[in-house]
Amino acid sequence: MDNKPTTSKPLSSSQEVGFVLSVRDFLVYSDGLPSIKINEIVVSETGARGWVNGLLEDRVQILMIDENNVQPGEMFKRSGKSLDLSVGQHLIGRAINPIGVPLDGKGPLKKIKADELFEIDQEASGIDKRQFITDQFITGLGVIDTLIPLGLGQRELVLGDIRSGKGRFLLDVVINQKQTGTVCVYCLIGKATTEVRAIMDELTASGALSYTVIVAASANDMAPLNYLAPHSAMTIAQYFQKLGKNVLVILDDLGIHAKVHREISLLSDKSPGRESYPGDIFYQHSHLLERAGRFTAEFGGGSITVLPAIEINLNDFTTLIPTNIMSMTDGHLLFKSALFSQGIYPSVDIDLSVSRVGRQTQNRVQNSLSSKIRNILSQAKSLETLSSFSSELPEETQIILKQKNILEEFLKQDFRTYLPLSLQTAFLGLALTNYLKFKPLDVIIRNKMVFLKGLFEAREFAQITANALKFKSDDELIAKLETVASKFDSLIK
Amino acid sequence: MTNAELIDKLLIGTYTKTDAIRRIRSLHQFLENQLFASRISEFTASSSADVAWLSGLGADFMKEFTTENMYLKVEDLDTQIKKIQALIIYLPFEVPQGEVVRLGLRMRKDFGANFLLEFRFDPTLIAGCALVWNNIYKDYSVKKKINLNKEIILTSIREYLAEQNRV
Repeated sequence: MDNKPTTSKPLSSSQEVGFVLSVRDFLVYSDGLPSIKINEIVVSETGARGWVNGLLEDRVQILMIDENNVQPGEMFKRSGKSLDLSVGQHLIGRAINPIGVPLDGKGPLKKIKADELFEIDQEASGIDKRQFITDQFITGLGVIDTLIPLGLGQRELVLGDIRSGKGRFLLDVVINQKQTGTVCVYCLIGKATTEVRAIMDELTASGALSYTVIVAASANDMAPLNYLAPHSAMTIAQYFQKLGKNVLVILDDLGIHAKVHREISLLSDKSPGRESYPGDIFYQHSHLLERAGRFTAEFGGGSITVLPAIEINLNDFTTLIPTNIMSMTDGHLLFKSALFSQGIYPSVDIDLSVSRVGRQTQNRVQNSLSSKIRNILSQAKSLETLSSFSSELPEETQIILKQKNILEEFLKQDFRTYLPLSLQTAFLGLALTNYLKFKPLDVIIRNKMVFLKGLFEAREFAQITANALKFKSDDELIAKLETVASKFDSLIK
Repeated sequence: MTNAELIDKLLIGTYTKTDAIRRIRSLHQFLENQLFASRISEFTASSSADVAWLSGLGADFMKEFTTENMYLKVEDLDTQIKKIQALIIYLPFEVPQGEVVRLGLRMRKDFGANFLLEFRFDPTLIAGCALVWNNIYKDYSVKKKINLNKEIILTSIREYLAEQNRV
């Protein structure tokens, strides 16, 4: 189904009504409403809105989206509207809840026009409307862009345990989209109100709010709003994608979304399955994530890249929800709190992370450099085990272990830093030169920023850096860097 | 007596669904007291009208209930009563009992012996009424008329005020 505007039926002089039979918190069962449809909105006598979520033999299941004390016997009227959201350019820079109510205290959104209302729950586009993913999605973080690259239109799961730096990473990715023209939709599901506020302030301070829409349902909001949050975010993303824009959607976090769906299903007496999740939990997430992709020009062009986040217990991440989402995404980034507490950022476990689609978007220099780096890291890992048994290591082994340490240091990045692709490539290429191979490790670590700055600013290196992606191979880049690397001697301490 | 005949007997003198459900409960309590209590006490109901109604059911009616079938039969009667579709009338005032009876009799004359009403109080209607039948809501209130002609009314008021200011 296309992202078409909804057509609300005008209210006639007679309306279909139903009367509440029973109430369970936000779940209401009503009789009547003989020709109601799923996803329609009904309104109570007191003006509280409910969303029709199920049609049973003799009852209508309604999820309340407005806070209200519904009483048995209360009348619900059909509103003639479906569950839709007003979407447009006016949302940029604003924070809203999943049904479009502003949260940021900047006043009401502009008046709604009929062609700006879009259904929140939509089907994903078919194969004929999609394109192959060929362009890289730049995060500005070397370890991701070089070793675990993402493509425009890819879905990459971000998972990690508590305090593993996932939140900071997601914020950095949004902030680093400043000059790319990418529209960002940051969706917060079930987060504490203070956390929502902190993220809004962070994005405002960094200037990222000028191209971002925040959709937030906090922990104290009703379960139906938390359930709808990612759907609203995808609807907003689809609107901008149709205008030909690249859109980044962050869903933080889908684990909470799964729990909310479980809560609603158990309350509505649906049979629980594995881990008490309902039987359709896979479908709930898959039909949401399938709305992402890269689309043909006839379908608006543009792309929707999704980074769903999920917090897990690293001792066992083979539970239902993480494995479900891993199977429906194009890769995953595994963050570890152990790495984060060692000061490594981004704290991604390179061995356990994968990007199934990103490699095809890299150019040959990046690709071959990435393979070389992975090779060194993997060799070093196996050699490290041996080195703990032997006091004297062969020179070759020592070099590999040293290169691994250099690479690990060069792959670390500070928060809120952005490295252009060419600079990342030149920097990592420098790590593989003979010049650094024979320099003491403590000198290299101490002068890391000097190397980085020199590559970007120093006349001798800036030209190579600017053309880093245009070489025939990474060997050519490394060879070029070798010819001028000695000029660093005058800069380093 | 069949269940249908029992229902017909129950609904004599009962014109609203709320009254019918309440009277079924009273009947339940009365029968429990008569059939199962170790000492039969005098039955008291929420209103003298209910007591009179219960007495009016007669011995033939009460004979239908025994210790074996009482609970099932009463539950069945309760289900049947709740299935009867009532005409729901929203009014901006509380309807006195006399009017309920008069209206009930008139409705049964036109629509059948077991026709039930349901009165609800909604002061926001201002005047007139709203009806719900077959899950269709029809609004015949003054509030609806005002809402439909809101712009005309506001324009008239603005014109009047403007004229007053000129004077």
